[in-house]
Amino acid sequence: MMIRGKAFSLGFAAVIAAGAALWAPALSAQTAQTTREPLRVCADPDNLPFTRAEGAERGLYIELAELVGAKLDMPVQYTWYFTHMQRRALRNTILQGECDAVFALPADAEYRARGVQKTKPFLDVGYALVAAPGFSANSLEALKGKRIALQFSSTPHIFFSTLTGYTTATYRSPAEIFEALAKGEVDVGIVWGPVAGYENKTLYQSRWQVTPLTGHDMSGQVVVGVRVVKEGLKARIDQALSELQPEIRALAGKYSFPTAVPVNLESKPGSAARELRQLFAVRVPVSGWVTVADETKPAAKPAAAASGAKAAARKPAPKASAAAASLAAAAPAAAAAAAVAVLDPEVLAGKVRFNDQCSHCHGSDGFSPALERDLRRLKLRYDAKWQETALTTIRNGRPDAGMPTWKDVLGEKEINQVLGFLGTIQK
Amino acid sequence: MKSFLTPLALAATLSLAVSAQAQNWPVYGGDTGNTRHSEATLVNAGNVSKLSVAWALQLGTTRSQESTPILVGDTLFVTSSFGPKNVFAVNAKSGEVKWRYSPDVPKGIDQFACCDVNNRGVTYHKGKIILGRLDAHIVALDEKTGKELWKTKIVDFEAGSVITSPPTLAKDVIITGFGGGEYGVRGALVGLDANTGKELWRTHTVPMGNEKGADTWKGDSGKNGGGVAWHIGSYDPKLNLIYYGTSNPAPWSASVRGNDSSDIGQFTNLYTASILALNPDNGKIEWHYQTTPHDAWDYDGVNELVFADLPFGGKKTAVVMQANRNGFFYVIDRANGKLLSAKHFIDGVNWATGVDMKTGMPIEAANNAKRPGMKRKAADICPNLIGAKNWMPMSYDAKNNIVVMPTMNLCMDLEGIQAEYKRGQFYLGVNFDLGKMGQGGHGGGVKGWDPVAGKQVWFNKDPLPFTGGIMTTATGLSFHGDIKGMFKALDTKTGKKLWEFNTGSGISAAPMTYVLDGKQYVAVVSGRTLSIPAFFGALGEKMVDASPEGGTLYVFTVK
Repeated sequence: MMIRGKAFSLGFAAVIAAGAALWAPALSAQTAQTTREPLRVCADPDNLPFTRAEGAERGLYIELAELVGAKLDMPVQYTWYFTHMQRRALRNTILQGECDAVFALPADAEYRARGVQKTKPFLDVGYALVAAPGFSANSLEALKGKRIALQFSSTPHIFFSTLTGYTTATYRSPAEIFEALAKGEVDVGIVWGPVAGYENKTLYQSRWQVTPLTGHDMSGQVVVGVRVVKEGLKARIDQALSELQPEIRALAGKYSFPTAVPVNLESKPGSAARELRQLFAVRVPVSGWVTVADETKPAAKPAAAASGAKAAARKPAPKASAAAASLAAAAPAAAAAAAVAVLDPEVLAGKVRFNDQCSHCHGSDGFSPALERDLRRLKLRYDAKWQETALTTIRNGRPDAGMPTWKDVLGEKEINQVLGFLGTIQK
Repeated sequence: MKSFLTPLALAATLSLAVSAQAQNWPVYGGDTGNTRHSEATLVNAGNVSKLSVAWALQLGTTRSQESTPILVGDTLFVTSSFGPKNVFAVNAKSGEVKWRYSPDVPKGIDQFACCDVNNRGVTYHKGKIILGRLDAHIVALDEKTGKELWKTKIVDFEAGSVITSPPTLAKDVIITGFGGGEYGVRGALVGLDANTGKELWRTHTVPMGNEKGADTWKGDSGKNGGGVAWHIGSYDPKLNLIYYGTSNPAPWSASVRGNDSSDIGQFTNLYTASILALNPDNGKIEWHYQTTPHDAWDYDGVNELVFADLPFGGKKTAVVMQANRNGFFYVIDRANGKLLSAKHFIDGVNWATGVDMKTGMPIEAANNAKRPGMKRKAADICPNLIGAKNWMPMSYDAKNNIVVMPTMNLCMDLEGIQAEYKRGQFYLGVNFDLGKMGQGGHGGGVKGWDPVAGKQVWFNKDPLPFTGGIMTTATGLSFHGDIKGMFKALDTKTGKKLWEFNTGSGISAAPMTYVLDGKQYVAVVSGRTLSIPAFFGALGEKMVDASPEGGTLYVFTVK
């Protein structure tokens, strides 16, 4: 606040360079010599379709990291960190030696960080046109007369502001753009392609046609960022990435990254799709690069299944929302029971289990003097999401905060009992 | 200087909030005019060298401390960074903690605090301690127990808006802004009932639709136009006006918002990078003055607005003064917004050669030479976007007619290219270099400034930028810290150093002082900034190396 967030809009490169210097990774002997060296990966815990810490879908990058780990015979360990604030995300993770690889970073030469080297590009990403099926625009000119929804401060927003003769409206998020399309406020939206493809499929039943764009900086490539001090690791990841090209293509299909023939905004009006495709293909020569656009029929099968090994061991996630819903229903009842000082048998069972297994850290009946361990404050802290949050935390733990994973120790029934009890002690 | 105190009855009713220049420190800026000047006289040039630590308080966090404590009765209230993680009520004589408030702020919230997880302090109102939190709530705490009395959501923090500054009190109305100039937030000031927290009014600082000034925005760009008021406000009870500065417009690219050139035309982007005067009862904007029209440099206009009574045009005029990021020191009639003076306060300012006193418009360097635009690089722009002065507050000593202020001396290259960071993804940066030293090669320093003549009186150079905020006292002393953690007392008239103490971590916050039982205490929080250095490349390394991180309130007295 005191200075501006310009870091991520104005020349992130310089900032990262500074950050790298400031947080020169402490080369330590912390990586104890275990049998197999882990592949330590930094990723965003909540950034589908790219990464996610938990749930049924872990995102393209996480699945890819698992595939790379399997290839290198290195178990993958994660450091989760939000990437909204990118300079901080890098500064607080890979530049401090918290991990050895980041999935993924822009390939662009402008984007660099001292202390981090880049693999070869492995995926093409870019903006996409979102419109009703059958919408046809094969050039920039063809968008004239259409009402175009743009995302605030995005490349397309800034690009279109330099033109005249186009009708644009600005929105803050892809969700707002989808909403404007549905309401008929606009004819076409320009949204970050992978997000457009994924959300179109998962939230809008593939109602919209998603066409990738290229030209005028609308597209680019991504790489894996590897700590410079990890000698040899970059070359090994590069090798794995080049071997995993079919899997990457399959993953792009699985997560609905736009795969149609892209529209080149720099082409002349009336160019045939075939030509456009060729134009796009010209950019392919970098080895190790997978052109998703060339994959007109993506494999439906998840890459993880194809590669076997570690990635395939990814556990199907429990039905979090259903469980949370049932708990939401149970909690008021439990609270009512508590009010008359007679605990529901399920809640009582939860209390007994809690005091047996959890009180060691969280205090008897959840009353801990340490704020962050005081479970009476869950509702204060997480509001309507507290049960969902607690459920996830109990199941999966928070290894970085010292909270163990309980899903292999307690069954769903027992976890629900504990949650029922927690519902009776909220402030 | 005390013009706004003259009606004695009024002064009595508003005693705590308004008692400017008394011997205590009831509000963040010392008084509601943010002069940060104290009438306390027990510490003077003769005994300042005998200042020693009376007590200290660990704040519980170790970075970017920006709080100035306030004194109510014999209790000192101070906040830490991160949320704030802690608000402490402490016995001002002994440092004994009376209560501590540690709010439940959602994990991961620092992702939405674009530039640091700081908190600058609290505001007092009738038995309540009122503060803003990073989760964009204003809360009122019981002065005696620290218990939450009310809590009001101001804006959705997940849109990138956090609150870091204490709200401004005007009678029984508590006023706050919020951050988010980099997230496409449309700025607003919000007035709450100080007793209940109920929202009374909300005034957008970016006009839209039929509102006056909406035509200063190209297309629908005002919708996400920034202009947030994230720093401290001022209040003049006599004129019944509150004053706030607003941030840069959003997004960074001026091309989206207008002509993207010095030929601004109608697209000034009101009321961004502006000084606003509002009626605290209904939020109506009474006047505005825009310091950087159609900003392309991130020259926020949020710096604190300091009151003075100065002779202009042959008569004493109640004015508001601001040392703006853009390198100009503005003096404005605080009744009507008339520009009285606008002078460069550091050497080398080159984005504009001056300000047209008739139109109030800056006279920009010719041919867009220093105005970056789309695919148009501007090199060696001075000052850089951190500004000739950032948030660290200045002080005004009326008796000596001197403003003492922390300044910075850095330049930058900027080039707009059409591309941006995409979450977790592919990014095409804009080229920038912020770590360029300005004329003379010093990073900044403390400056004595004559606000009437618009001239420097003295200057203490600092090799590194980011000198801390200032307090002046009636005995002709100025106090401030620096990024090495040295806390100093200067002679206000000459800038000569009279005393210093090593607090062990860099100081950005401004000090305060109070008198209790015949003793004068001087208090300052120490805890080096972290966000700023990350912008400065090699220079940033030196800033970080200047002192370790920390978080301590030091209180000094002459024993």
